[in-house]
Amino acid sequence: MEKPKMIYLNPLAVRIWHWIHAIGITTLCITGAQIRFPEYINLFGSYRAAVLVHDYTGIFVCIDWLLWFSYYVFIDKSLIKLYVPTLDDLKTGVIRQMLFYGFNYFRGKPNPHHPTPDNKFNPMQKGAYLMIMTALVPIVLLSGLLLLLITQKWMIALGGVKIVVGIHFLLACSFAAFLFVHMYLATLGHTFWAHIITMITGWEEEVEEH
Amino acid sequence: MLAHEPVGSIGEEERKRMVLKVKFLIICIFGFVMLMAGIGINSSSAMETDDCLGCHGDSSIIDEGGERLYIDGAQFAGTKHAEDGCGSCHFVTDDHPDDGIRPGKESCDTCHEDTIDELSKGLHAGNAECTDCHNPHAAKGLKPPGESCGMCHEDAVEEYLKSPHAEKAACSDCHSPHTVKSHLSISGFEKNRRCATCHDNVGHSEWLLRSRLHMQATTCISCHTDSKGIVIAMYIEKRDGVRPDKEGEIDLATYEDLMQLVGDGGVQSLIDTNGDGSITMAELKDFNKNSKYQDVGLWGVLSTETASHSYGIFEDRRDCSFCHAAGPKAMQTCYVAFPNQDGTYSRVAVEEGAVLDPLFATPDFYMVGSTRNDILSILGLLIIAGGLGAASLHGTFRFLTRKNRRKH
Repeated sequence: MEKPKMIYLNPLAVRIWHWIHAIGITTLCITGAQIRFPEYINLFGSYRAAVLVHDYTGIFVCIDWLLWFSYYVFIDKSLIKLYVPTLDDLKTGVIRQMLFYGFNYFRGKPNPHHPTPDNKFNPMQKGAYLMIMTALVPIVLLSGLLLLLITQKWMIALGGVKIVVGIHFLLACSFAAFLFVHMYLATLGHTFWAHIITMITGWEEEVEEH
Repeated sequence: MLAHEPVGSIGEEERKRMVLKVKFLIICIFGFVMLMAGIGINSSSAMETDDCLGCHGDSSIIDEGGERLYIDGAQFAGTKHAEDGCGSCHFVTDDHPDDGIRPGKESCDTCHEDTIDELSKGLHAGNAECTDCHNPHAAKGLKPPGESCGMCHEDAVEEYLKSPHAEKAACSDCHSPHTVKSHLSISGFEKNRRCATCHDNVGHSEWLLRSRLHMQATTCISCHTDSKGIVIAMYIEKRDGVRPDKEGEIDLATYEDLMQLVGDGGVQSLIDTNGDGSITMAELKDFNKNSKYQDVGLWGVLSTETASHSYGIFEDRRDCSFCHAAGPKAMQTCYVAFPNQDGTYSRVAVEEGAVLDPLFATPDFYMVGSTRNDILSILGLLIIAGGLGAASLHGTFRFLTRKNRRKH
């Protein structure tokens, strides 16, 4: 039997920050839910414990995001190449990928995108990850830091603590929604576990299309 | 020599007459002084304090004329009044008590004019006499709480005496009876300052998260008494572009500061623009969005409607969810406290739900968990449901079409 062709898609650093992010954002979503709805959710024993875990995890994810950003911008220098959609992606790639997820996947058609180390993400992933990692994550982390430090001067400049809280909460809900979609899409590889194993080992099996 | 004799004899007589005149004058002056002294004694005290205590310091006088006549000499000796003596306040004649005249009594304001003036501006004015609280014959001039404050504030004193705080502080250590104001007319910060007189290094930082923020936004009695009726009191703070939080104090705008902003309309017209004695959400939002008022803002403080004297440490307050899990319904009552010219505050009620408004009604007051906005919560839950729903829907079609993928 012929060995499947394997490609090294995710270097160790990428996998580490991915899983730290995954655990961090999940923890932030759960603790955040308890902080906002303590009458209904109590997974961390006490309110104080939930706030403490939320605070420290938030700081940890901030550092992790900075490492991610530094890695892609200064070390790997691949942020633009990997995350910014090309003109072709915008013209046809996005629609093709949407058609696949929404229609062709159910018909058993192959995925139009074949990941390579230089082109890991499909056009939809590029757009989503670019927005999430360079805009939404920094905003939710920054708003969280402001709420942690309660720097009144900044709060007033931004229109008040409630605006900061509102932005923080709605973005957190968006991340919770993203987590569900992301986890589901992670099972859409050629096998249920294919993409998940790739994010653990770094290697992905290249599927031959017939 | 002859020429000198008459002169010498005249001089001698004149000298004798002068001596006589001087002697007479001295006697007159002495007599006048004695007369005046006698009048003075009659009008203040013909007796020394010891003479008075000779009778009034003997408890048997109680049987003759009642308890009011008895003076505990030892207690009186410890008072400031003892230095002045009985005669400084009571007028008796030399014949007292046989003269049948009821002795006169000096008014407190003869000496304590400033204090009486202070008292006239406080809540006790017209409600209490000096001697209701003070016994001028007792040490330190103050009656025990049960006989002074407790005469009117019986329930409060009874409640207070049961608390551990009673062992450490008397009523007057926290309340100045001469300047006493009603609970609702002084700011939450003023109340906290009273506590800080003794509890000056209490930060709670060893267990309370964001402890300084909590100290700025909560009255001590909200947690350390079982006072009822938790409400949000909004005070107008000065911002002036710089947050005055270096000392941990909120810089409240004074009556004069606000009058400069509003002119003749009165300080309440700053927010209560239609002057109907209540503040609507629309008025509150207009104030917060008005660039003319950018140097002032509303700072909310968790306060209580009543002031209980059951001071202590309540363990359930260490559970953050005591305040932070009450849910939106508990945070419906809110007031704006406007400063008055005399330093007190007048509260104006705000339309229900102000602190729950998502944005502009109280943009700077947010109690996580308990002042969450329902619409925002529903919107957030819809976003999450959207993600979960999309994955579930796709998964359902995926399951239903699994045979199509097996072909490939």
